[in-house]
Amino acid sequence: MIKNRVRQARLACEFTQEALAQEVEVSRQTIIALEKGNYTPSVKLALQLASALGTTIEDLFWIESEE
Amino acid sequence: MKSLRTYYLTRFILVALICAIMTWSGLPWWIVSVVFILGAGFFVWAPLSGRYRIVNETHGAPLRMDERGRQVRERAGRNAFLIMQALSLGLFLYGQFQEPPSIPAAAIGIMLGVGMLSYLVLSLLYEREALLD
Repeated sequence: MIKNRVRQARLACEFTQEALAQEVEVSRQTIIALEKGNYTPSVKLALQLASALGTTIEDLFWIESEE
Repeated sequence: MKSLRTYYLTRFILVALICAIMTWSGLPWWIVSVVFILGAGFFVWAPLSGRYRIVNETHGAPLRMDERGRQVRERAGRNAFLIMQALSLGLFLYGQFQEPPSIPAAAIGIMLGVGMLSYLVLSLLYEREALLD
């Protein structure tokens, strides 16, 4: 299962969901779904998010084993 | 907010223009009214739906579907198609038991209607599903 810390990184950068959505060219609902862990982004969007939030893709996303 | 104002204004002008052409070409007022309500309704719904974002720089077509929107549409389309396939198989089997074997012509229209309705319901369902905890 892919986990993320997009919400924490966004808040650290003082971005609103709307501002981040505009930055990475997606809808605000996509950011909401991502933060809730209900949507796994494409590699392109993950890279755009990492770039917009000034971090790395590894820091934003990781795989958590389901046991 | 300004970008949404521009979007709403240009879309309203577009729908009004289409309706004016339809009226000018002699179509009944109620068809023009239905087209106006559906057209305006779609353009009001689109930015609120979460499936589109507004890009005013491309003046002609400001609605852009993002990757999650595309995923929702593809998933709903695939499953609606499967429902239609199951329905057509059911209709085919029903037809085989008739004497002589036949399928009523209206059944095809109903099948397409069920397919479209399934697509709409499924896409709304998948859209909501991603936003819930």
